[in-house]
Amino acid sequence: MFTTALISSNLELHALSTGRKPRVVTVMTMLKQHLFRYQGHIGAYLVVAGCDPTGAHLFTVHAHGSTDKLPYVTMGSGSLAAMSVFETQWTRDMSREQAVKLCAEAIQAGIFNDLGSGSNVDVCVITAEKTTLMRNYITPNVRERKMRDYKFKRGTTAILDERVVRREAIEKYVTVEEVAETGTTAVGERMDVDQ
Amino acid sequence: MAALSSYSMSASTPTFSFQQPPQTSSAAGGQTQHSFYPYTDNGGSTLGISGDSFTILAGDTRSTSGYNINTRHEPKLFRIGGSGPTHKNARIVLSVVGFAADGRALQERLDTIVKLYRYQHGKDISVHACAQRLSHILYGKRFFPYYVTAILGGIDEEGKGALYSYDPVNLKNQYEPEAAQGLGKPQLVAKPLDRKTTEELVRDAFTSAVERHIEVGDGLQMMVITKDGIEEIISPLKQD
Repeated sequence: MFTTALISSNLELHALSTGRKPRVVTVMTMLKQHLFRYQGHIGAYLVVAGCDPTGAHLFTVHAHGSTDKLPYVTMGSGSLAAMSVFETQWTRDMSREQAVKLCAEAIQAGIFNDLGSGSNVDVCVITAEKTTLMRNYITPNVRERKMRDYKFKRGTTAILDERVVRREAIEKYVTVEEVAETGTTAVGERMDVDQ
Repeated sequence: MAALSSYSMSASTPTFSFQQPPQTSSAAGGQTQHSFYPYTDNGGSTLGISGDSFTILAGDTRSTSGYNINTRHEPKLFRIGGSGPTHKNARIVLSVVGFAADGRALQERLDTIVKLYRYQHGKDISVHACAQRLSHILYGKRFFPYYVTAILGGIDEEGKGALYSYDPVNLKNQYEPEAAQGLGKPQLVAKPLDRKTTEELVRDAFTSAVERHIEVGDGLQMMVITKDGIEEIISPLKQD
């Protein structure tokens, strides 16, 4: 999380200083140089993907600083299950719909066959124009309803003692101070992701 | 290829008995040390709950090693005694979690003993006697234990539900219901649950466990023991 935030900041600065749109290779290089410096002690394993003026790119970056550039990649404990789907079903020049379906299929292979992966599928599509994050694209593991009700009945907790404290009694502990208006409030920049 | 072998949890990845590479220690003058660990943990959960006239034992049917699923249909509950390989008229059930191979070996041994008891004495063994015998079997392997935690359930001589639980080397306890403690309220009295409520409770316990533990899932095997026999119910659980 910190690593991605750091690289994201530096990439923005880099784009500002060069006056060009940032490239995916640049991100990948910044990441690998940062991670290599820390000899694997920063345990970040990443998939880096994006569209830039040179086209669409896909990379993996490992904690020790090694990188791959491949047409399809998988990572994590479910990577073998997911890769087995990619290796059998991937074809060159797939349509967007085909690719989304294949990715969802690969993730589901991990969900059901790897204990470290579970529940739902998120899919993110990056084009030159925009990034579309499809959160919970497939939810094949909805929680089952309980057969019985486990809510405690009202009044289960016994009342041992009851006393009423009025506002006048605590007013002497409160001080009110007026603070002058500063005018503007800071607003965080929104990320370019549509809903 | 590097993308394939990318486990981000490499430090905590479980190791298995047959996958231990020889270790060369620099401290002991570069001597190579070979080792063999005979146990694996096949995961899963079992539970037992007894009522006035029945005992329910339940377990999930998933068998795992590490992050892999060996099978989705491996029972952890076994009928003990009765006649023949179908355990006809059996009234005792053993559940085992831990190392599945040891579990099967233990089940086979206890089953043989219970059957021999009937051939020798001309009557079925009582659950209490069976429980005591199981304790002895486990302790007999005190220094090379069966790597299992077991639960034994059945119907006692008075027709009441009976439950016993074990650690790998001994009998831990015979289950006795106790009254709950309350404050400023009339003392709650422990009363046995009816069968329907208990079955629902067991099912709910497992659907909760499935959400919270990766090694539990796939199927729920439930055995209800009454004086009339053992009823086996198998229902599905989540597969993720």
